[in-house]
Amino acid sequence: MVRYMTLVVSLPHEAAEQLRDLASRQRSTIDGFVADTVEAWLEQRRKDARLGRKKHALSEVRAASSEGQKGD
Amino acid sequence: MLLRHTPFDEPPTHPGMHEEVGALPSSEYSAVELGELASSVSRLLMACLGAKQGGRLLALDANDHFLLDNAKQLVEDGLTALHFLVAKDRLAPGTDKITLCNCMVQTVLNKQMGTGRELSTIQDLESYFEGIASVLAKARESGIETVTERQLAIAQLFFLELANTLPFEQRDDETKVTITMEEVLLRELKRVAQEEGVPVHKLVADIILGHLNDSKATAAAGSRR
Repeated sequence: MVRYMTLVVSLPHEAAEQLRDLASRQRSTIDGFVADTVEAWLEQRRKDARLGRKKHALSEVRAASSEGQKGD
Repeated sequence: MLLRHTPFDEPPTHPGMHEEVGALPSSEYSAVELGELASSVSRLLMACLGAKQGGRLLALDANDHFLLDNAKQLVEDGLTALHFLVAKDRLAPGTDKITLCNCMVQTVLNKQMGTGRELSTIQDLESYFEGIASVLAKARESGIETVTERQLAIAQLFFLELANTLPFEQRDDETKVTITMEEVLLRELKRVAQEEGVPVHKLVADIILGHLNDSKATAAAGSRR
């Protein structure tokens, strides 16, 4: 049996409105819309990791930029 | 101020590290600010850890220094309250510091927190928080090259868990949205959030905001055609 859990997130008013609007335009609930969005994001993250073009974590980006600054 | 050593601390390598520079004024804490600070410090320490593991140099900027200063102040304020709670003869700190202390203790009590053993006594807690403050001071004053990966990992885990424990409040310009999702999906998100060094609610908010921005950009591009 599938178990469900709740999570509370805080969004800017405008974004929360936009989320409701987009979900209803796609004839989905907010829960369904967010689940689809999150799953797509996770899938993209997995794909990027497999292809070796892992979206670099903040650590990598920061390190690269500070090295770049040193080189400038 | 004398920074004492803890079980996970390395011997000091820089003579200046015991001197406090630019002490911050005592602050009032709100859950929103604490949550933001804990998340930001967690991400910063994660970045430091990543750079260290990759053998790269990560130069800290003024914003990073500000974060580290405030993070150290926060831990020290929690420690002050803890000292007060265990010793009756001390002068009481503000109630916000007592609340902060409760939050900090609740975050780590009876957990290992990367130190190898559960934090279950007052002494464990004091040593642990002193250790965290010491790591932050070292990173701030002498650079991340002077702290070990283990020290960074322990400090990062503390701020990540603190951000997850804090009862976050919404800002005036924000709305709380309750989302129900499959447990397995939430578990996967928690794992990724841990990897990214951010609380799960923040990760989900970022994913949603990213998606909404993409949708906006797509719609704008479509209307220009």
